[in-house]
Amino acid sequence: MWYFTWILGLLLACSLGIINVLRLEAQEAWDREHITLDPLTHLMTKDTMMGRLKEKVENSKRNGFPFSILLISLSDFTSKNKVATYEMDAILRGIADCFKDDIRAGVDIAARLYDKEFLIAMPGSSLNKAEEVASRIKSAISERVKAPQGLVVEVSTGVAEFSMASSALLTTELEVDKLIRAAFEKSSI
Amino acid sequence: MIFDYETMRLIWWALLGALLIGFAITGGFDLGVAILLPFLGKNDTERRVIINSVGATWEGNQVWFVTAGGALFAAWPMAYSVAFSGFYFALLLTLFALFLRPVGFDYRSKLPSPIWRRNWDIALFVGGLVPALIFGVAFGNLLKGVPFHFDNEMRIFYTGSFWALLNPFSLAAGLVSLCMLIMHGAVYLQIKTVGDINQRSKTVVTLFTIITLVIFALAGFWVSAIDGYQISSTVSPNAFSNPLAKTVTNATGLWLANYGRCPVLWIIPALAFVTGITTVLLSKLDRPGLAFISSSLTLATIILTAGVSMFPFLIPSSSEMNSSLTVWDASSSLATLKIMFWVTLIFLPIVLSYTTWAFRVMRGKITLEYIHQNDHTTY
Amino acid sequence: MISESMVDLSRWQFAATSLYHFLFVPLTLGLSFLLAIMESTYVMTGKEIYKDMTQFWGKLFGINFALGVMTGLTMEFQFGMNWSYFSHYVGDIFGAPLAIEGLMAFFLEATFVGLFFFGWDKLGKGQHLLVTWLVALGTNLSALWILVANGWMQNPVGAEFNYETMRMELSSFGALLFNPAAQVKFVHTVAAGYTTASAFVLGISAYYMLKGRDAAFAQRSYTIAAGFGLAAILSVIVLGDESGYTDGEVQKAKLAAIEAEWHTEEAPASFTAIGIPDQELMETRYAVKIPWILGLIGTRSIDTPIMGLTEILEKNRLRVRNGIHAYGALQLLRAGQKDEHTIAEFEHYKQDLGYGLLLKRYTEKVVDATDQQIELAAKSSLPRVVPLFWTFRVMVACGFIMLAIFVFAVIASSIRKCRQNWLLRASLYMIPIPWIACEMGWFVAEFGRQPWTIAEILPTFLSVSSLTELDLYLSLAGYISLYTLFLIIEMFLMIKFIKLGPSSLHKGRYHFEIATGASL
Repeated sequence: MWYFTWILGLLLACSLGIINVLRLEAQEAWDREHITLDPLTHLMTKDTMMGRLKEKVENSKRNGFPFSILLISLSDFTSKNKVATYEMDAILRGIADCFKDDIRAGVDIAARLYDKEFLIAMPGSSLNKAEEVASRIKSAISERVKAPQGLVVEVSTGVAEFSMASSALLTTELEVDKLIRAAFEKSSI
Repeated sequence: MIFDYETMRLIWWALLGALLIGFAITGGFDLGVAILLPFLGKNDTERRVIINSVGATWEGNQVWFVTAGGALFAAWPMAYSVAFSGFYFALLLTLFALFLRPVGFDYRSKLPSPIWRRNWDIALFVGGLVPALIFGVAFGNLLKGVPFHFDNEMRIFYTGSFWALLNPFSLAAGLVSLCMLIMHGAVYLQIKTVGDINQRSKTVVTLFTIITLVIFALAGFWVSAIDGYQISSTVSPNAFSNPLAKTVTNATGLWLANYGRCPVLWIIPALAFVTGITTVLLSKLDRPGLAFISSSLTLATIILTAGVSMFPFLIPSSSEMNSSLTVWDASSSLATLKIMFWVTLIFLPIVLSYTTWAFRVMRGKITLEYIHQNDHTTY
Repeated sequence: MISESMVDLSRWQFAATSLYHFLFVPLTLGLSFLLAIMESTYVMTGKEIYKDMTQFWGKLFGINFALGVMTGLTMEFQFGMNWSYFSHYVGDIFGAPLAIEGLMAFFLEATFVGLFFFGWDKLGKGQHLLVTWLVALGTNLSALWILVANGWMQNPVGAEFNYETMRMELSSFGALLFNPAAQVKFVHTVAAGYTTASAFVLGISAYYMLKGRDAAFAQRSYTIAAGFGLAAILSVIVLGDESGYTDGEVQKAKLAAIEAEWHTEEAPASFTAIGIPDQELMETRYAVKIPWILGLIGTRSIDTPIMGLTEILEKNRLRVRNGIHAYGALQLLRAGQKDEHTIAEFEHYKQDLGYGLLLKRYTEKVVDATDQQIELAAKSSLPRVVPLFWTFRVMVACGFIMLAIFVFAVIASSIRKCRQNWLLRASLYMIPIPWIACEMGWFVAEFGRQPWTIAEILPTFLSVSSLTELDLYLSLAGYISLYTLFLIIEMFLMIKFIKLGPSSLHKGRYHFEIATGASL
């Protein structure tokens, strides 16, 4: 009779394992669907992003690999050109489309930081790599995003790298703020 | 169906032979391929091709050996006990050589270092060579008889030494075994490879088939010159297994007595030569699949020749002839033989069918490109 | 007479080779099912990460499996090589499960393990999944048959002694297969294997999570291992209990020795949790006893007593004397005197023949044994208490530690709070514990059966082959050096691939390939 018990017990054990992990999948799927996204571009909002960004920076610290962020700003463009709101929306969506494909799922973060600013976080990328990505996205936007009155959409970009050497003592909050501020400065806004 | 003790004993003699032949045909080419590895593979990728030609199926093939050992234990426990404790060092060496195989296959390509890989190649070579040789040497010694006797409580006393096992006749038998497995391995490589390795294996097939047949013929003449054994008392094939209850004689040339009594049995060694020749021909004609069937038959007939020659002896004793182990007095009880028979009848066909399926799934040539493309998932 | 040192050497060698073999078997038994679970999840959800999991843990499975096969070959050879009298005496019964193991289980696992590793691109999803389940089934069927064989050694049912052939012969295959000792040992041992594999995956996944690497991968592996492992450890403990109960029925001396039950206590007997047992004085000093537990667990009743060692010894003295009669009759029968009276005498005493054989250690002339020799033989019929007492308690302690951690692991993984540092560290440090428990368990099983190889039928010292000490020294040296060498190589490879993690699959999505950490 113990042989039967073995088969039953085994089925039970396998089911427990599978059910446990399927629950995990369901919960994660639910999370993904209920994340607050920016309604226009379907990227993360600032609040959601900040939490994730902190985790990523912490991880980089712990494992000792580089971490860069890339800032994309339309402020310059809008200050020079007058564009209607709905046309603005189209441009923002267009910009978001340009870099959506470059984002590694689960690894990189893309967010709409402010009304006209986007932030992309790339764990594992050094400054050079980030700058490369920045210029690539910049030219892609200029080529592909259609603006009214035949204007060429020129964005300003700024990159900043978190490196172990520079800030061993600061807390992660400050580091993240520093990072963002550095990126802003670089984009000369 | 009512099987009496005599029938079951005969069936189990045949089944044990079938398992041994099964091992020679399947595990045999794995051993042959491993022996050929350092010679037919001139660089790392070529060697990986050779290893991967058997990589997916070699473990299943080795189980024929394990099962043959288990069947020997189950159906002929006294023969198992005498052979394994008597041939202690020979088996120890074989075992140590067999150790090298699972680790060799799995670990060899896990690190890129050439020294690491070279050493594992040598290990795989040894792991193929030693067992192939010793199996033949063991068989040869069975034909010569080995010195053992029993006390009244059936405790086994083996009085020979390891070095005595390396007598000339047995070494010749060992060479037959070695060469026939090399031949068989080369045929398999001809099936699974292309280009240079394929060409090299064809050369080996021809060369080693000829060598095998020549030594086999020599051994055949030699057998007529050594002392064979024969039961001289009346055989009671349905009695309890008691090796002490008979008398045995030996005389020169008695191992050919069975052939004398039943001349149709000469077909078996004749077929060995015929199939050897067809193996060479088919290999040269680039029909390696058919050549494989042919070389399998060669192996089977060579082994059967020896088995038929010795029947009904399993392990003759050279020091106390009357204690020799024969089919009629070394078997398990009727109950055990019957149960094992039914289990084998049910499971052996099942095993054969999924083994065939596995080989079909893994069919096709292994090329250098295949290794390069699958660097991390192949052996 | 066989030399004592030959017997000792043979025993040391068998112990070393089998404990060594059992370093690799439990992981094979359990990890094969974990792989099947992971791949089932892959086929059910279609998510690549589960395929990666199957392939990565499969790589580790392969490294371990190679040594399992290697050390397993030794076991098959060793019965004939070093224990030839045993192989002759009980081969009629013992050989059958081993042969069936080959036909039913080894072929299955060996054939399909090749397809598991090499067939990803050649088989459809469903076909490959079937292959993985068959590998798992094959490994477990192998455990079944070898434990049917070992179970028969502990409780030799369904067999009779035949004086014509001087060996035990099978009378009922059904009794052999459904032997309660075999059944409970089988389920307990495979459950131990499941626990070991779960602890292995749990601990390594915890390591990745502690390092903040490959989080999604690690979390899913952890979750699966936690669920499977909890069911496994619960089974192990329940079946361990059942083992004790079965021992109480069929191996009373072993149970008494494990519990250092020197005298029969009034039922229900108390359980000695800790103490210092003393075999000479037949008492346990500093004993910490828990009342009633042993009686309740061991007999499942409140009025059946558990026989103490002193009482068993008393019975065995009588059995040795009976054995002398049996042996005397047997000698006559073997000499050809097969008259009715001798046969009747033998039939009457034959179940104590084994006890008579115990005398052969002290004298060749069993029939003329002195009282002193009889006393020695009777005393030798009991296993030594101290080693059993402690190994058993270590095993049980390990079991309860693992139970606690698995409970926490399951709770944490179901509420998705796996990343508690204390739990992750505990999971990591738990890795060696199931291995300790497994080895302790086998020690209890085998040492507790001494002085017998086949309980109450064939003593260990008679079971050995007639070899020389030199033979043994050489083989023992060979085994130890080769095994040590390969263990070092295996551990080196295992640790290397564990450190690499799923990046070793070269799929382009994991830590060392993209230098990234926690994925959300």
